[in-house]
Amino acid sequence: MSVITSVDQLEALYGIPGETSTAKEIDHISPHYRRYIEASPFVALATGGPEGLDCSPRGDARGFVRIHDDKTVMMPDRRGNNRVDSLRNIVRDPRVGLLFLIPGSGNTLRLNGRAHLSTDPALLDSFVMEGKPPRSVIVIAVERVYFQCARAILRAELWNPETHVAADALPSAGDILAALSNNRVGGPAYDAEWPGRAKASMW
Amino acid sequence: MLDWRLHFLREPGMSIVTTLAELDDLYGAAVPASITKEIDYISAEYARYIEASPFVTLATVGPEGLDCSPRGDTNGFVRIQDEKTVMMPDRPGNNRIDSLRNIVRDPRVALLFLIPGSGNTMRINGRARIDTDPALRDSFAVDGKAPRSVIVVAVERVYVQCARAVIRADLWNAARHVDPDSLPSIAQMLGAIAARQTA
Repeated sequence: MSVITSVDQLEALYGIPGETSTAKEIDHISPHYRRYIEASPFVALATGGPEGLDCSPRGDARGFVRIHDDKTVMMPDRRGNNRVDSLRNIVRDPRVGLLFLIPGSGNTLRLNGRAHLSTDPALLDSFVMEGKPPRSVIVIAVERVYFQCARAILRAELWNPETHVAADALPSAGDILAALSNNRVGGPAYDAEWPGRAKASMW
Repeated sequence: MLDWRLHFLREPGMSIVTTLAELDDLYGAAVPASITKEIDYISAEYARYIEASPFVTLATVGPEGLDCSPRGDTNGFVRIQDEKTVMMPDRPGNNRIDSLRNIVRDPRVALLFLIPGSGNTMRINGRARIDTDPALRDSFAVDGKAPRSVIVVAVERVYVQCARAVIRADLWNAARHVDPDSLPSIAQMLGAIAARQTA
């Protein structure tokens, strides 16, 4: 009996949201919101498809999400592992949700809308980094934008370097691949080659 | 050279990718390691990343669209119940509860775990339910306060990602962080929106 299965049950439990949390939601990018987007080097991109939902990390230099106008943003698709789960979802269901992180700030910016993928050569060229254009650009029509004073970030102490883990305290990518493949792939060689591979394929 | 700002004048044209076949032509096959590492349970190695993570972005979907919500707490706040189940307390927020409103109507969720200091991220995709069992909620109490509900996720796909995105963003480099005072404050943002609405 303890599983909640309807919106009515939820509202009985949580009440109705306060005006502050609904007033801040607008359908365009205001000058204030623009400044958060321009300060953000990292976005979590949520997409959905028949296989389920996906939440993908996207990052680059600050302001890598370009504000085309107050109803449109654009994000280059930089080099990854070619799984392209996000893109595979977008071509089948255009709905997307973006969460912008701004390192050092306790606020996050949320932007929901509809996306399409473009390979327009002039558009790709306008996103060149170190001579390399992205293979596609995600163009997003803005539907809802709001900021969130994220208790989540404060509780997590996300930007406090003193709480960060040492990278070698966790299993490496090579360790993980070796364990999952009975040592067919991965291992120390994979980890040793990774920095060079990443550097060569960063953009 | 063509001007990118004319993009919308050229669209719709040949440059919009609309099918999986076109995507495969553009990107080719996935890197083999990216397939190997995807499993349908939480391995011992993956558990260590989840236990080290204080921050998750939670993707949900409902009739109003997709949503991507920040969730955070102390390291390991997402509890590994068993290798097919994780649980996340719903801590106080703004009562918008967009994520929960989505979950009761569509159980699909995707979690992206950030591990401050690490260039790797952990991904879990699965199906969720919202549980208010008193004993379960009490088991997540902090400072004597139990969450009002717990999101219980049945794990379907798990993988780690050496995230170039984290490296490119230089996400954990404190020297690159912004001064929060250089950005509009909450009062400024709400004030501007209210002014526009009453104008």
